[in-house]
Amino acid sequence: MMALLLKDLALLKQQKQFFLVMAGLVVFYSFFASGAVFTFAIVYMGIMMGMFTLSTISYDEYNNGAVFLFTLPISRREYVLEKYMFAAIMSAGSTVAATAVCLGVGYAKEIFTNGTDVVEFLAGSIGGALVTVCLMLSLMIPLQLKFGAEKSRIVWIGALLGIAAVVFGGAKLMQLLNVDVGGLINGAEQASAATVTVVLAVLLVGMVLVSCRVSMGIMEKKEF
Amino acid sequence: MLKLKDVKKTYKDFELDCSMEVRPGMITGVVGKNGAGKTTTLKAILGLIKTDGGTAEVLGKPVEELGKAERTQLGVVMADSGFSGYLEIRDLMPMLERMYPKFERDVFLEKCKQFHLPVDKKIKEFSTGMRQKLHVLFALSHDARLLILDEPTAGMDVLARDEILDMFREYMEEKEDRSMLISSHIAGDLENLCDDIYMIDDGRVIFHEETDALLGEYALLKMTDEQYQKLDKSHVLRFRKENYGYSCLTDQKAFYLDNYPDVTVENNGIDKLITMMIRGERI
Repeated sequence: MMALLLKDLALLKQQKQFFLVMAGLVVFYSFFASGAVFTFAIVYMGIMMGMFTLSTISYDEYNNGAVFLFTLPISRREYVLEKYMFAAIMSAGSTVAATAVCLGVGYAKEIFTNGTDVVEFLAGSIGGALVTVCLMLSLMIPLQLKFGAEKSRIVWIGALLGIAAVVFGGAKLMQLLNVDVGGLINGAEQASAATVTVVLAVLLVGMVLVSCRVSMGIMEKKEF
Repeated sequence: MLKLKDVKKTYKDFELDCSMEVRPGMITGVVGKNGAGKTTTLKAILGLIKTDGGTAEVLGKPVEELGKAERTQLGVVMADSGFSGYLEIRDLMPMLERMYPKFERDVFLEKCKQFHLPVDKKIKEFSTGMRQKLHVLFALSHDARLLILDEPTAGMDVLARDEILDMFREYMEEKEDRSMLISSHIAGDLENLCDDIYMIDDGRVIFHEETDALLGEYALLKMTDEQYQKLDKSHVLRFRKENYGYSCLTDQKAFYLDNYPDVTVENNGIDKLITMMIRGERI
């Protein structure tokens, strides 16, 4: 797996100018920003770096390259695991770096005046980055492996519409079944931060594991 | 070293049904026209496609069970695929050192220099010939026991091709247990390199022969209509109507040289053999 990580890091190096510009923008905006824009910058960096995993899949497949890649001593399962690992490293690394910059600027500009501000900021930005990146990549990695870069964009739009339909349909169904949706939301709001965090973490981990398993199944069946 | 038995793969408009063997220490060639099934056969050997029947064994293991240990002993060149074009040769070094315990970094880089392959240029900017050279050098860089080479000299100029073919010979001579399966549309490459040759057409092996026998015992007979009518055709594999009369492919050159001195007997190259086997008619 380390060999594949090194390959993807080498691919990342080829895009260093783009990511340096991105990092520069984060630093630049942070000097003119409030806490809300800090959060946006951190989530955005996390997404951008996580999404680069999808680019590495495209680079692997460029010019029929996947055929040759899978003649090397790597298993398809290992390839999939590496992509999720790479996404985690990229997203976590960029989120930590962007958070550090924003915290530094926030203290310097006295945006953060006490510990509570910082905790709220960290929970919002890191939590936001984690949820968004996990959601997007859990859907997009299997889609890209299955359909390739071009088709997966179309399927991605379809998947979003599908999710919206499921949510809307679920809400309607609950109404029909006389389930008190408002009560459920109120209950969630009244739950402790720790409970929400644990439930969210379990959901996210479960989603990533299911996504990883689905991706492995796609790769095992794939022919080159 | 490698054994395919009745390996089948069916696509919408193509069907592969292939058996072949590569013995230890041997160089086996695969020839056939474009679309005959050469690459599909190699992909089946490498587990890149799922077969619909038959068995394929590589290095003593079924292809489906090939693990890292076996794959590190393979050196592969694919005709239309290679390292990601977005990488540079120097980017490959850490990856290959991790993947292959016997990867010879210094030798590999020295060879790259010898073949004028820049280490700091994206591979997608290489010419077709340069890319092929890179992949050949890589296949020879990690002490592979079995080389599986699909059109390894494609896109190379004559001089580079000769150098590469010499490298193949040297590589094979270094250790006795090394084997090679090579496909090429340049028949001359195979004639001077291979111990035996398989010919594939429409997904089937239509011919398998030792190269020495092929070059020594096979011949193309050229004759008039009248000579053809009188010819003993028991050793004729294929015939074709020509504007001067007939041409026939035989695997008993000596018989016709001794008994039909008036018939023109031409030594066969693989190119002529392919043409006759595919386009000629059976008696």
